[in-house]
Amino acid sequence: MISSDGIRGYNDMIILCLILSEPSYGYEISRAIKVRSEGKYVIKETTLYSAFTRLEKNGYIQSFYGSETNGKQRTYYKITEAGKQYYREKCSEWDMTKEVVEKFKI
Amino acid sequence: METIISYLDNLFRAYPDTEKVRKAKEELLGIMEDKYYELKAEGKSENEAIGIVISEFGSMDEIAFELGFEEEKTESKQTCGDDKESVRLSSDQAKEYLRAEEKFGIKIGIGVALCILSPCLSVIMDVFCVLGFVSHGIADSFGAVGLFCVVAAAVGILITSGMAHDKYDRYKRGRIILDSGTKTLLTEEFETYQPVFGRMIACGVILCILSVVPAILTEGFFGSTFFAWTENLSALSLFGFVAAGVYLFITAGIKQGAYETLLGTGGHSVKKKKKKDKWISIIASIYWPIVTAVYLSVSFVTMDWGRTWIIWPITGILFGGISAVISQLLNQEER
Repeated sequence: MISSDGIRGYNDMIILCLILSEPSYGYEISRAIKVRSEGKYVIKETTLYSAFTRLEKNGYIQSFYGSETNGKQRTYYKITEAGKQYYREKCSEWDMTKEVVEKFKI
Repeated sequence: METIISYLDNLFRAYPDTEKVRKAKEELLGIMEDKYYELKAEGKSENEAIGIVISEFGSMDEIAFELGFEEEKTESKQTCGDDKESVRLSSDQAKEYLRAEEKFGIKIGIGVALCILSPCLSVIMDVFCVLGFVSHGIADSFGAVGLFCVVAAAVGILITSGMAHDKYDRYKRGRIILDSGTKTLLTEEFETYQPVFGRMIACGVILCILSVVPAILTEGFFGSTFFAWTENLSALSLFGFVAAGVYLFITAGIKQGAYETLLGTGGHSVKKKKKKDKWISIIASIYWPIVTAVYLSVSFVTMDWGRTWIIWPITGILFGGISAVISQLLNQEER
């Protein structure tokens, strides 16, 4: 299990990555993170929702109500062009971060 | 599922009912609901599913920070409720207030103890007179002068400390707002002070009860004729015990009151306390001048200064009784 402090700066990147190809909703994203990290990272609900509002405020994602499934209407999130740009920036930022941190690993 | 809904309801209770907050709550509930049903579908028990959902929820602070609820939260707290002036105190201000109150308590305690002890010189002079060291007249006048000097000193202390204390009046009238760190710290301090407070009050009560013991003993063992001055000795010890007891009551009570003011945990509401204080001060402003007038006129007419001082402890205790009756009556009226 990873600490949420360590990964904080990259929650945005993780979420954007998961909606890169197609829109998704809260729980699906949360589950995808868990599955893809092989259970090593479980994102907290509050972290997820804070990230959604922050990303939307900055124009990186757009929310919309999906069609009802099983009597439940979900909020979906779709990445914008600015979001894709931001995602690429975060990726190169991570490359650099990884490179720097790696230098201090014995 | 009900458990999760009520969990979320509780967390959001502290926040105002704005659209932003409602939306956040709805979205969070949506995610939790999805997770809950998925876990159930995986074969988890009700309790297990609820446990996992709640443990993976996170912290409200994160949400509040991100959405800027924090300001709304404190704002709504301030505007809701009564029209009392609220006073924001930093941790330093709160500590300064506590120290000032402690000092104030000690000064008031000393002032009142001095008032109680003021007749002692009279009693001592009476002993000298009985033993034949000084004449009756000299003993009486020395005693009276001593009494006035001590009372004057005590009144001086009471008035100056009361004046210095005035600047904290608004703390008592208003509602104190502390940051959460200071509040936790003070609550801990307050809790560790509770047993000390209890012991001080208990000691005070014991001292007051014990104050009459020397009088009873001297009466019982020696009779009033054994030494002419045993009566005076027991009077001196009575004043001493009562003064020490009252000093403990006052210092302990004022410190306790300071904590209660800061933490807003008084046994009585501010409004009620104000009403009570008002009544007691009205009665005091009539009562004490009358007592003083009676004391002076009786003493000057009879010139029996060696005995008339007895009016002070009696009226003092009587006043305590009157205040107790008033607060009791007001308490009943409240109910």
